[in-house]
Amino acid sequence: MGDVLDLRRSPLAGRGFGVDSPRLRMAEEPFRSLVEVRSQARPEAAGVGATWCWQLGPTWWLVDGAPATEPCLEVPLAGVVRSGNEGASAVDVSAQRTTVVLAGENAERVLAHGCPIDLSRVPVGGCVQGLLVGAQVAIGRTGDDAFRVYVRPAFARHLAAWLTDAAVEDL
Amino acid sequence: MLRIPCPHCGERDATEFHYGAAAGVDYPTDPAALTDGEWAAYLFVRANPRGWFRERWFHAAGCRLWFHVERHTVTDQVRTVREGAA
Repeated sequence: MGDVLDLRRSPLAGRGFGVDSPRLRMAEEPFRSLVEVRSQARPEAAGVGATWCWQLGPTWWLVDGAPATEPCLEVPLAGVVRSGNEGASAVDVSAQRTTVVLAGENAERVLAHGCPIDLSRVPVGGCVQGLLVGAQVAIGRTGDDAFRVYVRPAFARHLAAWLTDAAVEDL
Repeated sequence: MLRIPCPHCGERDATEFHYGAAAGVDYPTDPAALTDGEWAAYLFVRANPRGWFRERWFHAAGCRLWFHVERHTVTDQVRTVREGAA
């Protein structure tokens, strides 16, 4: 098992991506446990140990939990959302996206350089899906100046390169 | 840039959407009974009004749901929006 995990590579591993300056911090958080839930009601994600639960659509949710060596949120979440709720589902999609976190007073400004969505209108705990420099992303706000950007692995290097370039003025 | 008001995500750039052409074109209840002419009419013949036009849009980069929009084909104003795929 240990060997398998050593072979796992995140989309931005070895790309030198990351910024740690007083006004902006950017980093990849690889291998997060992600589960997509289809359910009318917001799933009780905290009860199964997940950290965040974002609404992607009217009945579409993305649950984000700590990295794990195997899918650990899917089964408990499925049990929660399907109790008394025909048609609800939970599917592990950890490999479908990687997570880039941005924090600091300039985080929103950096994203705004390439994102046509007005992020100032997204409340803490809110999430928007859309295009960020051509890449389909989900952007969740975790604080007044902190964001989590979920991006497909195939677009991650493009996004990281763009973020590195866009952040030059905002360090 | 054409701006499309998604009923769930709010107004977004048209590049986030797929265009679904005219709304309200129902699949024939008994396709095998149609003549070639009627089938061709179902497939290809559409109204092409100069004015208000009801059409379908799909928010591909956002909530990934179909909805209806009533759009003026000359001014690109949008009058009504409603949820639903049909």
